[in-house]
Amino acid sequence: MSGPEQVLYLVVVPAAIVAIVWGLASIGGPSAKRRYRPGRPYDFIPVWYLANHRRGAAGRPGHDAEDAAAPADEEQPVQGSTGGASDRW
Amino acid sequence: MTAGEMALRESSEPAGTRGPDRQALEGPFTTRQLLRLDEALRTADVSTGLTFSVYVGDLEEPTREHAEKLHAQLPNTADAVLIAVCPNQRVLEIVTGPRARRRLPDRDCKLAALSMTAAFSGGDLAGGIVAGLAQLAEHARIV
Repeated sequence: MSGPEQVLYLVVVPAAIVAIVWGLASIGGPSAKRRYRPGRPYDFIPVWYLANHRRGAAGRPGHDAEDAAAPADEEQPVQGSTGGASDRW
Repeated sequence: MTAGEMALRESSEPAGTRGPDRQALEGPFTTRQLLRLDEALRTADVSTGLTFSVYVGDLEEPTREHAEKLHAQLPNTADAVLIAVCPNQRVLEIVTGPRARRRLPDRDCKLAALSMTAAFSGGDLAGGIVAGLAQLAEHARIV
């Protein structure tokens, strides 16, 4: 194997493969930007989700049972404070 | 979730009554994650009878009060449970309405919050929210 061929096989070809892989990795897919990384700025728009029950023909068994059991209770304002928990990471 | 299963709004009012919203696909989650989130929300609602909601975005200081204001805008507030996640401030707030609180004591919310923040600290927002929803629903499940 001549000198130029050695250079081609041992330097140019590996370098080309590395360049291709690096290029593909830097381009990334459509989901590459949708990633939260702790410590990095989070600049997505605020989102607020609720389940959509209109598609569920079966309805919400929990509410149905509750409404049937205590319909009057639903109409009265519920006394008491909110609860929950707070945490940081 | 297709965008129609769950919707979102940039303003301070929850969605869910709107039709498909393309903005849902511009949020921090991939389509696959949105589907998981939608399934988790629907399962939690159906199995408990409570109204679960997830907010991901900035919260004004004090964050607890802001989260409670958001919770007050939910339909059926007494039975509503809001999970508010603020990635920039690294704050998680879980707010339960008065009636939801009877089913979901603060201690159970704290346990769910711990598992959620563990996932968040690893960069897994969607996984943490889905796990937290499942945990909260399990505690509040109708027997």
